[in-house]
Amino acid sequence: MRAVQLQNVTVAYPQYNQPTDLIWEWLTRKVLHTTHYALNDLSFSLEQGSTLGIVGDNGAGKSTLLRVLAGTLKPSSGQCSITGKRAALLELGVGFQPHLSGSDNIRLGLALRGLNSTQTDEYLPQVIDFAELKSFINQPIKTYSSGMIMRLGFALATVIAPDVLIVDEALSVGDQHFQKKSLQRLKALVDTGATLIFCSHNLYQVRELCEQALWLEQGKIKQRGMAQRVVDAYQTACRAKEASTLNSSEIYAQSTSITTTSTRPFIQSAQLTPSTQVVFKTGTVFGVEVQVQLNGCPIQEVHLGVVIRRNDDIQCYGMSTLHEGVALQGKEQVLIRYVMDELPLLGGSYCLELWLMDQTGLHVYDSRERCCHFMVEQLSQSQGIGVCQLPHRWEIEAL
Amino acid sequence: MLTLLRQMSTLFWQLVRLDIRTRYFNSRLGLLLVVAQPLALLMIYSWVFGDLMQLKHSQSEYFSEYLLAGLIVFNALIEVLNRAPSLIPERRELLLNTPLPVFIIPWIPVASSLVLETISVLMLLVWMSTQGFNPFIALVFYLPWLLIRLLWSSAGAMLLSVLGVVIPDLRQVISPLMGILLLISPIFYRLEQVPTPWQSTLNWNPLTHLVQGYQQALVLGQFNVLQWSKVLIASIIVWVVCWLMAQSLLPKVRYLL
Repeated sequence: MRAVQLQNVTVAYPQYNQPTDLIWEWLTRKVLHTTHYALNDLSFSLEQGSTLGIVGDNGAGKSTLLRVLAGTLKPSSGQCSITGKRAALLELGVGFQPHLSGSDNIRLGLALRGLNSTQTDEYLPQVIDFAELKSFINQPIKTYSSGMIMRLGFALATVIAPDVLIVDEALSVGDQHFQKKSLQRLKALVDTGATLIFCSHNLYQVRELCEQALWLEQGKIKQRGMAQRVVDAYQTACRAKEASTLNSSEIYAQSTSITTTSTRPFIQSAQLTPSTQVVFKTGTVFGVEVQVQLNGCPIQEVHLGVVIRRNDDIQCYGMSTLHEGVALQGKEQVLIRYVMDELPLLGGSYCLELWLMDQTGLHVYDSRERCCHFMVEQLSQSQGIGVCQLPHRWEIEAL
Repeated sequence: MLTLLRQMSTLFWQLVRLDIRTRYFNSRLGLLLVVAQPLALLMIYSWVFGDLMQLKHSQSEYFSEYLLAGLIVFNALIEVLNRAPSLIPERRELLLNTPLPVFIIPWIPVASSLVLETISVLMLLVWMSTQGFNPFIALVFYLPWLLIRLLWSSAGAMLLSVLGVVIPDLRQVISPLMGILLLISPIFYRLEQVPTPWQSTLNWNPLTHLVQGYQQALVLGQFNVLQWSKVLIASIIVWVVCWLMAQSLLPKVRYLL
């Protein structure tokens, strides 16, 4: 069943030079505004129970898209239909009225979610209990701390078990205890089959929480697909942009006779070898090819670390050119191959972490966490059980 | 559609309830202020304009009652018009971050004013019944004028709530304008007491007819159908223009917030 469907959704913000132009426009019927398209002809759908992460630069249209999905902003054209109840954790507590008490704000918040007064009376104690604000609930919101407001916002947004949950970087709510409690509630909602739409600059969280991801750029879908691939592509684009920014800042520095130039190397690309493979067999050749852009940094100050991580977060093995005393070679770019002639890993799902660091190993220039996902298949249990094969021998003596 | 209407009505009454509570019941004196304030003003106005300035008209001994009826409609109207320019800016966060429909906002003070007007009208009717008047006849004649007052209030609220966003200075201008309106409306005096050339001028003040309608209905128990019909037609025309403007501009004012 489709939980979310967007059809040719466009959100256009009219921009007026003077506020009074709004009235003149209505009176004279002449167009006196320019239009900024925050979302432009967006279409996608989501099945019930799926999870979608939204990534993109500032101003790409992420917040606008979330507002459209949350029902707080009507599209200028197109349709956004949501099946079932929705809850949005956007800017927590922003819609609260500071002069009203906590309980009045809850009543208003529940009415805004379409509940009648009987239902409001039913849900009110649940919100108060979850927010842990019983002794303050009749005080005006303006006397609350920011953490208390966040807690109330979170409790209010999630009290009605939603079919579609829209979250905008709201996972760091309140203190440690409440963070855990709120994360548990989110996970419980997702586990019960709620559709999750999650927007964050924290790409690790996007990868962890979401199966699919959508990359927005200037109000349009740049890429949509498996979260890992989309996030990787987005990160690559960010790095390229960062590099061009650095280059232009170097040009600027040269033109203004500033001697300090930025020399921050970065990982340009990383891919498994043989490149056609994402499934490897235990005991066969395995490798990763990493292309590093030195960006003016002396080669002797650059080292690469590779970590293999299993999907249950076990760090299986890690090694670096620094620790093994391998010297890199190259002037502008360097291609580094990390090769295992006989892959010792046993069956499972794995990924890599790549760390580009300096000669001390303390300063990290660039990193790619959870990239190059791959599977390992073992021929049979005779190859062993666990994480990897370890060199060993059996010694047997008849006694 | 029906579910949506029910949801909207729950939300609307929740907003009105909170509006009334915030304005009148969160203070220590609460309800006492709602009742005592107009009564205190009535006593002072009666003394100043009736006894000191001798504006009491000869054919009626009900000067205070006339004054109260006029003040009821005037206060109900300015309650809405004074607040209208700030309605949307005050609810900026709510409007931008919740599914609150912007069309509801101008109606909040209209509903609040209705509640407050009801309290004052009930007080006047109870008083008039002790003077031997039939309160039910007064009530029946009052309701058509109330309809016109509500048309004016809602039209003004729609118009000024948009203008309040576009022209922020409007909030400072409204109060003095209302002061002028109070003086040029036949509340402290009757139209017949004004020199004849000025009577026709004051007749151009739309509030003149509304004040007279309230006074005739609530104090004398009379109803002038012709006067009411003319005012109603004019009010409907103004209301439709304001409604069309609100339909077109209210969704756009969020871009100016």
